[in-house]
Amino acid sequence: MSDFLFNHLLDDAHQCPIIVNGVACQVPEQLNVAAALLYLGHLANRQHPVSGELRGSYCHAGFCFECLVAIDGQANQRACLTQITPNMSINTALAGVN
Amino acid sequence: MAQIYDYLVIGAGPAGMAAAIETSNAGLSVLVLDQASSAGGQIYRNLGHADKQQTSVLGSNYGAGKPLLECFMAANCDYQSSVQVWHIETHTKGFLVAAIVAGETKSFLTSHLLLAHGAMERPMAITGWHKPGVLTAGAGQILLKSSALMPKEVVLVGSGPLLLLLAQQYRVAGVAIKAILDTTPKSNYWYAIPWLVAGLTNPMELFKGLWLTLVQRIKIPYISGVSHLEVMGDEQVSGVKYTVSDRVYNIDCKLVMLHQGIIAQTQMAQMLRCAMVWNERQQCWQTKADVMGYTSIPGVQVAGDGGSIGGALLAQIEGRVAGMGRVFNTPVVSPWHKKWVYSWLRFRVKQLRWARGLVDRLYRPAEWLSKPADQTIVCRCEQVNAKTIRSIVNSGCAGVNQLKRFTRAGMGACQGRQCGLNLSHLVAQTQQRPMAEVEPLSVRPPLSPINLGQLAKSLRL
Amino acid sequence: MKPVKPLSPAYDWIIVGGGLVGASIAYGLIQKQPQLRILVLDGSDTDYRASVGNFGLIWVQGKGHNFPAYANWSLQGADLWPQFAQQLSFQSQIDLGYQRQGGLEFALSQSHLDTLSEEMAAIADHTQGAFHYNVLNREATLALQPGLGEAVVGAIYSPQDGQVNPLYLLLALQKASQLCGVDYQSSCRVDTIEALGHGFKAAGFVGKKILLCAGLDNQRLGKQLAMHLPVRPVKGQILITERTDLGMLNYASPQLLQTAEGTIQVGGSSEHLGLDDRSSLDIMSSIAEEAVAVLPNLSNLKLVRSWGALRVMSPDGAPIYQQSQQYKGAFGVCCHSGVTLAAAHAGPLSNWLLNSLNEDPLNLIEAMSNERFSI
Repeated sequence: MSDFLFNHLLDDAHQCPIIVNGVACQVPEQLNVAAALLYLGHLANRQHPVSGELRGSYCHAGFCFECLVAIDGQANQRACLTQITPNMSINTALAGVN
Repeated sequence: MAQIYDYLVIGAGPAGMAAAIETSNAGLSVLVLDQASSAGGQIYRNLGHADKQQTSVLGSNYGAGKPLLECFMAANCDYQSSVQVWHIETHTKGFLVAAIVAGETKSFLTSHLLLAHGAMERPMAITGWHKPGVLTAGAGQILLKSSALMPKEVVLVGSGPLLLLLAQQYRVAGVAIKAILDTTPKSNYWYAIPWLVAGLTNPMELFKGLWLTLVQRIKIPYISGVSHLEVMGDEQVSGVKYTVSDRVYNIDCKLVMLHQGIIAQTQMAQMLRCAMVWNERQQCWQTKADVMGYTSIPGVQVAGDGGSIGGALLAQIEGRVAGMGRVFNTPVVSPWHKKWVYSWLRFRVKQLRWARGLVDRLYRPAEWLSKPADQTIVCRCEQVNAKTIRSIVNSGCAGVNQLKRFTRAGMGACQGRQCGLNLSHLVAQTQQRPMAEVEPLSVRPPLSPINLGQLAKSLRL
Repeated sequence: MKPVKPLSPAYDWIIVGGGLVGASIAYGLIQKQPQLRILVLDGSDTDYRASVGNFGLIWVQGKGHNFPAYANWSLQGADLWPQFAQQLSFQSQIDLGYQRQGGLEFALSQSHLDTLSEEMAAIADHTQGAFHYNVLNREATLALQPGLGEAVVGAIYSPQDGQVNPLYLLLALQKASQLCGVDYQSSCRVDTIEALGHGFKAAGFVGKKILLCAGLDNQRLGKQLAMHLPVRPVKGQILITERTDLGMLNYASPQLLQTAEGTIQVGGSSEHLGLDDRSSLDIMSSIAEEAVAVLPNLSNLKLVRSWGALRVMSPDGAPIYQQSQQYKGAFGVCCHSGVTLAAAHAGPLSNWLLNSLNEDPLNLIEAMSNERFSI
């Protein structure tokens, strides 16, 4: 888990509960999954299938396919194209990786 | 029998919205399909829901899109958001567009198609660009617009007006910009001088651009003439190494945002087998189109940055022109003054495209960027580096498509979006051919991944 | 009038076409006679290339049930593959992903299974029992491939089937041939071939002998050399999924194939639409439908890319190996099984081209000339 490198601009944003790698969290409700992961300090979200290196989101526009995570049991979803919903379960492929 | 739309617009950015307004006002049946959850495209992303705080950070150009957005939302056309178009093919009635809407596959029929899906960031393949902590400036803007998220501290790297705009927005928001590492070659400034004349035809934009540049140079540690960048770090970014005038420097940081301008997205046009042309001025492939946006495939138009790059205002005008072109193609009799408006708009398109030449020349990517170092990963999805690519091309590859088969570069999840251009540069350099002679990576469905199960159940008309 | 000096041939062999057929033969020729000067002329990057649409099966079952020579030739080719793979991998230093793990063709109806059984019996007969196979009922098929859908009634299994990565195969052939001295010229389309008496001129190059391996273009070029090479395009579409856990599919199959990278290839189709290699929704959808019927677990796998290519199809589906009667030294090879026959092309066929027939005791190659198309 990385440092918290991002701030939210709005002071009184409504929060939304989500579950990331089994841990319950609260994030501003307007975030998409990729933004939520950055907000929570997850800079990396998967291991590269060829090199095994850690990879994180890059373009946030749906073009690069780096932000793949499992959402509500469905694997390899583009986090940047998915809005968070209450109690959404998000699993990066790094749950077992330090 | 499924509805056959008179006009199907892909993309709800300025071009798509303007085209939809124009054609639905003329009484055509129009459907707009968009990837995002709300209209506005990239430039006006989330404009309908943005907070006052966000709008004040993002600046006046952002807010200027409100009238267009409101007009679009009130227009008499069908509009579906959060749609992934994954396939388009010709059909006896015109075109079939296959999409994923709320997890289900849906097919739409139309007699005419407008590709207004906009542009994407030029992939800036520097050593280490694949590490966690490296984002694009576009991502920075998207995070700001859609999620009101901003970094605490960041290093901005690259070249182009968007980088400077983001710097301005971040400064207003209180982000600590450690530095702007500007890769614009000094020679670009000299070559851009003849283009000042063109730029002067758009004085407001020119002035805004100059002001923006000046402000950032004064207020933020600004290092120009940067080359030979390398992102450092093991599991994530720890810093950036760069060269200025043959001296190597290091800057520590955990977050880097890259930018080298934007390029037209051409996947849909290529899949439809539209004729493509290499735009030397904008350094990317574009769909060959006439002044009304009609491509080499009858019934298919392009407008906006998805055609050629020109910014929001030009995109809006091109959208309107494309819509008018569509209406002129119908038995609907256009009022006489429409033809005058059309002529004036055509003139504006030509003038704005010419004015754009200043930005294009000034911010043309430095040559060294298209010559990645051997260890640089060029294909992110399949982890193929420049050394492998060069050696395969040297052993006698016909071109970039054969290169793809021999290395897997371009076969991964993004299907060549992040590597296609750079692969072509490498082929062109190694074979000593101009880019205009190198064919781009071919494009096949799906444009967006689709489950086999969804595909099995997709509606056939 | 001054006599014109004939251009002395720079090459012993010019091979027109650098796909799997041309590349296999170029490789085979240079192994047999290392001193040969060979030139391969390949087309442009975006030409129709059957080689790139190949599934990658080394497939014996089902081949030549109506054509004994072809059945024997396919089996012989598959048997030559292991040694061929070893040698080629070693020379090129490329992992071909070659496996001879056996193949399953799934049947989704009893009548289909019955038809397949008859075909296999015929092939076993043609090959004097050298072709081995089993007709499996549903239970036996499940034992080999768990997770099958309810629609699967059984399958044909043959231990002699296998798979390879066809793209790396082509790369390896090219690389190994070049290391042995074969010249490759890409982006070199051949429009006309001139017979010079002592040789042939194509695209500005001169060779003593010429071999046409240009796929669908063989028909046009063949006419220039008085060879009737009747081939027509038959489109095949393939779907390719994202990477998934290895071991999902243990056997090769024309319906489903797992690559060494972990992606799953799903095929296919046979469409007669002329020179159209585009992917189409109806076919992609029906391919997906069948795949999910065979293995329901595939339902959640994402399709990442699709492909369409044009098979080089002769009237009976078997290869054409032809010498020109009028122009000595001109040959034509057409086939749509460039992978299965790669070893045979590099082996006995190359020998035949070099005029040493000792590796074709059954005269299989002669049986696959175009004379079989004459009434």
